[in-house]
Amino acid sequence: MSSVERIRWFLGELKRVKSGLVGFILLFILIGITLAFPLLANPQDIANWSGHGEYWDQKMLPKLAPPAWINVFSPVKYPVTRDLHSIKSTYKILNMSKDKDLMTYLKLQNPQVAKALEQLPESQRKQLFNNLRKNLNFNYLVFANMSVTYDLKADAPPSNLIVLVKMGPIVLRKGFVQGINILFTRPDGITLTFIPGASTNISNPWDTNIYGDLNNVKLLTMLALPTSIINTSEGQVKAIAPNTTLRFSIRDYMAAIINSGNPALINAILAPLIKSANESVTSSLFVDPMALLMSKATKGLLEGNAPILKGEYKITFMFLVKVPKGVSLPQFKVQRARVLGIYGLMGTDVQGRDLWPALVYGLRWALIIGVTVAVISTLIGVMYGVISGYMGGYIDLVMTRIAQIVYSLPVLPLLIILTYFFGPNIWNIVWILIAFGWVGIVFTVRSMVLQIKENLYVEAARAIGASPWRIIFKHVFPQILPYTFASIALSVPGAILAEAGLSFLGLGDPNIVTWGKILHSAQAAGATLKGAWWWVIPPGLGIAIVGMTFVFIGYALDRILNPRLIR
Amino acid sequence: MAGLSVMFVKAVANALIVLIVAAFLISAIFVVQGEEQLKGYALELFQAKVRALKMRGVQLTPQQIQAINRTIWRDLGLLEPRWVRILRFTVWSITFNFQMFPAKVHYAGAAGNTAKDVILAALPNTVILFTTATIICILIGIFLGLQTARKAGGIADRIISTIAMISASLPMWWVGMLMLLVFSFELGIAPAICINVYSDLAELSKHVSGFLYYIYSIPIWLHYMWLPVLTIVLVSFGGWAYTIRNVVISTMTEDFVHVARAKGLPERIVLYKHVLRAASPPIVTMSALSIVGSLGGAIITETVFSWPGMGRTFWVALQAGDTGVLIAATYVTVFLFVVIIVLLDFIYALLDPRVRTGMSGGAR
Repeated sequence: MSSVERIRWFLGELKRVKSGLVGFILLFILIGITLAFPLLANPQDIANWSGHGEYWDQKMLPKLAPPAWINVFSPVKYPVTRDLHSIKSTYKILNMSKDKDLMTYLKLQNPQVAKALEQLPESQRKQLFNNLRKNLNFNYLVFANMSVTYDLKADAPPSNLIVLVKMGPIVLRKGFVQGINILFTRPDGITLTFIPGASTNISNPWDTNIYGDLNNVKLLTMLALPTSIINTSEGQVKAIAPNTTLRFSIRDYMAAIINSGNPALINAILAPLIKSANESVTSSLFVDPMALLMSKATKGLLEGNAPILKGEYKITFMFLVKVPKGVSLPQFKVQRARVLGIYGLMGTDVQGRDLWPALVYGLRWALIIGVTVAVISTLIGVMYGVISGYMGGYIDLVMTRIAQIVYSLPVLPLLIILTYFFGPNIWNIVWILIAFGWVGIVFTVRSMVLQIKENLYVEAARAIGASPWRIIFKHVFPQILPYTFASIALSVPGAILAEAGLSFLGLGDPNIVTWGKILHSAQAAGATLKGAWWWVIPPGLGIAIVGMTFVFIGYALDRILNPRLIR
Repeated sequence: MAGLSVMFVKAVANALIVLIVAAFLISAIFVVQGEEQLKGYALELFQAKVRALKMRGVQLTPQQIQAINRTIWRDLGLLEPRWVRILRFTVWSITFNFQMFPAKVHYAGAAGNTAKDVILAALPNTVILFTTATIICILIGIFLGLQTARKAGGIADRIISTIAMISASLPMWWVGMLMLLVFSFELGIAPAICINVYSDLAELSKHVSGFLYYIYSIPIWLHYMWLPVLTIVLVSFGGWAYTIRNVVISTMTEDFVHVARAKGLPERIVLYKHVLRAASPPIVTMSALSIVGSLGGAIITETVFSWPGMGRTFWVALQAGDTGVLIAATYVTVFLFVVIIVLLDFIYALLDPRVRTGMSGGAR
């Protein structure tokens, strides 16, 4: 048969063995997915998989989020992770060198004094203003207001709402009253402020009393707002530096408050909501903070039993800032606002990493490891068995004994030890798997060779003086080749399972992402106890599918190439 | 019978050689592997001691510091050459002197702190779990194997073959994770951490003792082991059924089956009495090998369920750098494996006249 005929014959046979056909189709699909990795996922995600987390912080993905497609099947619709774009901002300045603005400021500070001033003649008032300006320690008063709206249409609260506000410079000085207020307006009209001591009545934004004091170190700590020393033309001052980012994560912020065990603090923020629900707080609340904020104000709110409140929510950031001489005007900008919920094709893990690219990438290593180990170890095993069986005598005895010893050693413990030994490099693991993988096939091959050896044509070859190597390669080896092919395919799953097991135990290569490694981090984070099925099921399913592909192929090869051995 | 005794002596001698070499290899590997950890441990001890002395204001000369270090190294056995330590562990292993191996950390259920106590506590747990699972698998496998073999190529046959192929590529520990996800997290009807069985048993021992204790401890064990057993059975039964089917099919082509059918015996009797009896030797071999192979414990599966068996013990010992326990656990596993193989060979020799007269090799 020519090789073309052989292939045609093989394909014809394949059609009869359905599972083999399925196996080969699967194999092509898997190879296609591996090659198409840059199209299917972002390679950067893999490069930064085990990094310091900055990369993933910047991506602002939800933590432990189920995949987005669960909404198709779930009767409860969950909010999908997305950026919020309905952002409104206003920015107003009172310039103290302008009489009109100064007058406005004075009116805000003390209406009676301002009225008295208005009665004064023009020149006298100017004189007074100039004196006042000398005593004033700032040039501008800035009011900034930014609001983000989020329309909750889903049946469950989002897992988080995060707003990044770029701000600064803001000079911080004792007695320099400046404020921040963050309001949360619900669809039912209840308004909360996230700043303890601030007011929800904001009819007059220039009133310092409605704000929380920015000089309050406790408040800055709560908000995780860093301060630093900046240079101005007036010298060095303590300030919130230009372009400082306020990362306001509602879940984390509220979790800290409701778990504080401080009813005064909890009431300072949640009082309007708690009152409407006719409840009261005496200690920490054990409820999901987002559910607390986004549920109807009815009984059971504090236990998380109240129904969800759909509609438009608004988060408003308000700043009232004084700008001293020599300092530029502060900038305020909502850099990014994001609602976190379900995400992506495969969800995320506990560190907020997208699992889809890792899953696609893991396929590559499963194939590389499986095929490399299977091919090399099977070839070694076949050669070993052939030599042992053909040579016979003492060589056979010693070789069989060695194989028996290796066979009787428990494999996984030694794999673990050797991986510890040589370091968790992926190629070390491959070599170690080969070192233990060759022995399984030896005994079968040896007994096959013992049979083949007795054939007349082998004896004839020996009689005309052919060397043992010539006989082995010309007459014995070709007989065993079909069996070898089937064995290679059938030993792929074992190799993949072994590597996955090592990675699962935390012995995998730290620099690459494999399915076993994903499962390792899932186990380490207690994913099964948290019900994170999207983190546990896909990698194992991947292992199973790749394994199955090769098992199908192996059985088909066995049936087609080796009809004698299988009935 | 002379041939038989010669064969027996040969087999035992072979097994002894394998065991000695294996014991040596295991000792060598673990001693060398544990050395770095042991040195690190020695350094920790040394630093702690010196710090404690300095805190008390004791001034130490370099000689004294040297002496402290030396004592620690001597106590840990690090002063002896490596080969002496390896040989000692080898000899102790072969002579089952496991009470000489100290255990560094505490193992759940262990009565004392030598490797012997640890193994004695862990081995029965693994046996309980895997033997139960294997027996269930064999029963299911025999039933399904016979049924599918009767109608080879039928729908049931194809389904079983497919299940066998699929479960061959399923990681058992992953299935375990899924089971925990479903039965422990979603349904809440199975314990997630099996090692708690010990606290439950301790609670039980406060109330009852003696015979009643054993009676009452059975439901506790069942409560903790049903999920791991279910996992093992789910992953393994397909493979068992498929293998038994193949054995049965090849037996069914034998002449005596045709004779039995020709005699007009009902198919059920033919299958269960004639075919199954003839097919039982390979099934027994497989069962024995499978049970003994599982005695090392499935390290990862036991870890997933926190089952306090040999596998988990090995893993805990490895992380603690507990060389003694590692050697003991590994050697016991190898020993049981080798002994069972020799026994099987011998039993077959007893039963099979062809083997008895030395016509063909072992049972492999």
